[in-house]
Amino acid sequence: MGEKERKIITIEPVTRLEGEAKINIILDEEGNVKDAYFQVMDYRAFEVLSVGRQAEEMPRIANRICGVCSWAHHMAAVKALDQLFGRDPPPTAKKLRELSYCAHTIHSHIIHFFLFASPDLFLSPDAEPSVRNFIGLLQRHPELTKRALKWHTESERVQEIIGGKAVHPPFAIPGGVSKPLTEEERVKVIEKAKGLLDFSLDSLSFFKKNIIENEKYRDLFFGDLYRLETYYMGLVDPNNQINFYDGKIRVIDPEGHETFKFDCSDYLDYIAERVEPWTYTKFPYLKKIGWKGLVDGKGSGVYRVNSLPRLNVSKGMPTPKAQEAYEDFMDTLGRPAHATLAFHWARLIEMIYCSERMLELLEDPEITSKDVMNYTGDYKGEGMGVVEAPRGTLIHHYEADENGIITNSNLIVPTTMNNAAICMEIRNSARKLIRGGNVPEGVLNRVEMAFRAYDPCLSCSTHALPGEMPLEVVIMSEDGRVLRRLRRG
Amino acid sequence: MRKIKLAVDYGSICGGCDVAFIDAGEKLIELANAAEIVFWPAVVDGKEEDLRKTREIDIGIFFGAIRTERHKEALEQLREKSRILVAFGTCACYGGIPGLANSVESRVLLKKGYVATKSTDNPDGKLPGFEEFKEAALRLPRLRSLVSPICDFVDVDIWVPGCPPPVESVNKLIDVVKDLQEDQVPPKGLFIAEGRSLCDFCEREKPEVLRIKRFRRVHEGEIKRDECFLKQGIICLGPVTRGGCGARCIDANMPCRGCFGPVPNVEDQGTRFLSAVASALMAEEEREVGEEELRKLIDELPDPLGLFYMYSLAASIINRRYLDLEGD
Repeated sequence: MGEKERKIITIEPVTRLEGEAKINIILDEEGNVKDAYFQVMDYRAFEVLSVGRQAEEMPRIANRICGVCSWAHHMAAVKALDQLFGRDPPPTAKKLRELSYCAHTIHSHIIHFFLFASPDLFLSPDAEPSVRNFIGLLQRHPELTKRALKWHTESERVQEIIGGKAVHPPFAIPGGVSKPLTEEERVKVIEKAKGLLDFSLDSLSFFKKNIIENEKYRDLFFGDLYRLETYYMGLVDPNNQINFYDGKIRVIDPEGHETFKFDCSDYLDYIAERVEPWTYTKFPYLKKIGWKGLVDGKGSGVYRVNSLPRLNVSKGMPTPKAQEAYEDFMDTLGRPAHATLAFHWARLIEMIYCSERMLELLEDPEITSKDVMNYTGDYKGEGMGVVEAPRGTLIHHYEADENGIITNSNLIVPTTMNNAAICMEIRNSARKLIRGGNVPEGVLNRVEMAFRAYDPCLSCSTHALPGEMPLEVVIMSEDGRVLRRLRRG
Repeated sequence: MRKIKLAVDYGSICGGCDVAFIDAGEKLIELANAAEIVFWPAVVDGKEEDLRKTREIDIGIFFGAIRTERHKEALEQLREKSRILVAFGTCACYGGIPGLANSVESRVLLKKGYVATKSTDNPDGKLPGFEEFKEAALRLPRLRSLVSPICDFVDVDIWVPGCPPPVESVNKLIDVVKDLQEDQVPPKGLFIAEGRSLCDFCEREKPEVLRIKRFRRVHEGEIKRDECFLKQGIICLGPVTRGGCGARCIDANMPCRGCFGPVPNVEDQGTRFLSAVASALMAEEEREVGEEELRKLIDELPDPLGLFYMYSLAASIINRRYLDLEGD
């Protein structure tokens, strides 16, 4: 009977999102949490459909992996192809790529922070679910919310001005980019970058006033409920400071010591991915540390990527206002910071950095040079490219034959890198919140907050945007009989 | 005025269609005023049960292609309840980029993705979707053998192509919703796109008669910004692709890859393009193109499938033939 009595709680976005991701929590006979599964439900097969394609087309094909972070795939692909074709893009091309990519990061962070996470943060996690969404936020904080919408649109316009299209850009080609930036366009973009910086700084002040200076929230957000002590990974420049477009991959251990630092080309020596048949998302881990299952700590190869991990691996920030915010962040949380909900705070600091970096690049006299393509190079037939996607380290790897036709490809995407951590976070928070079969209503949102910190754009295929992710908890027996149904809203 | 019942449901999606809606900005508030959003995972706190319980929906909008059995169920449910069904985005209309996976059958595809990829550590060769579990809830929806556009399974009333559709198309669709409030029903088969090809909207200098002597790839040399891509020997699907995209790629000096789908009355975008290119190769040539010359030309275009069918392979004639063999 023991096995039969085991209960499964299914938390699923009640929506068709359920078709993409689902959480199952399995209770033991005492009604305590035995295990939890976070399942991704779709496979889009980009590693297969890229085979046979003309290599130079990949930046326009691979960006379709994700419509929320299409620029990240666009850039990782083109960087891999620069290498494959043996071409070093002219400095202006690299700067234009970084410039447009900074705008993209801001656009993505605004969607996540304001349209998705903010209802939890600024309306309280315990607010009535029917108002705890973007519309509720608009009513409670109209000025901030309208500004967020405005600056989201403005960051999109920047991507459009520089690269033609805001979603699924055609812009980058192996060896450079498809068009230069005119002086007229530069002036337009500067105005927008200044506005983005002001908006980012104001957003941070608002966050600090409402969360950090509020004891109740501070404990909830940065206490023990959401915390993992893992390795962290991120891209760094030669000064070991954050860069979204280029650099070496740096890994630190849970105590903050540098464990590895490597070129993207060596990634196969450092990263491997496990497969579990209950999800379409794999489980990357640090190969030299080893896969010990879903556990954290120094002995486990589980690592995290995204905003907080990036700040953890970065020795300060390369721009002044972001540096100020960074010091305050680390003084408050310690370094490395392990609190998962601090991902949100870190995103705001990154918005400041990206705005400042945009302004730096826009003041560079080279930025309007017409020299944006290098058509020469020694063809290599293989290339790896890495960027920091808004959601973390992203690697594209391609091989091609002598005609430049893709013969093999491998992609490691950030939400996949965080898969093990997300599963652990869900299991841990469920264990703390569910006892003796008792599933309080509040558990729904508390568990949801655990994975929302990592991203609503789970697996680059769920991408819930504004409003909230509706959840349902179904407690059922193994034969699928519904014993109890809890629903938010 | 009565509120229009609206629902959005998904197949295999990238999220770009949701972002396209968000870009509509203030126009979204008009939508919220005109419609009761029964279900839309990205935007409202909808519940699948609400959708199941709702008997009739005025307008159902479907994003994404059909990849898994689950997607097909979602589509059929939405069709059954909706007075008007909209295929929104290239994946719903034509299969889109995920349709390029159709040159490989799904089990092969999973083996490549979950066993053969370089960083994968899967000694037992377990394949997601093919395992049974003691806990039924852990079962994953199985992939269908091929990706399909939604019109393979249901009747489509309004088509909104684009990857993603531009904000102008979103605005027009929102106007359709507002018209429904006054019982103005759009004509069946309405395309929110132009009825003419992209070339009619392209400002580049075009030749009277197109002649192609050799092909070039986009990374192979400078591309002139004011001259027809095809004249420069660069494959551009403009002549066989619907206009309405705002020529955004063209303006960024990149050729069209056909995301708006075929021009009216053309079923197969790739075949039509092939015949256009073939005649351009022969145009005004006194002599016939020799076999060796043809081979050279073909070598210059090593992936015609990927280039001519980048967004429409799943809707192509070759693919349908394969689908028949599969009995899927």
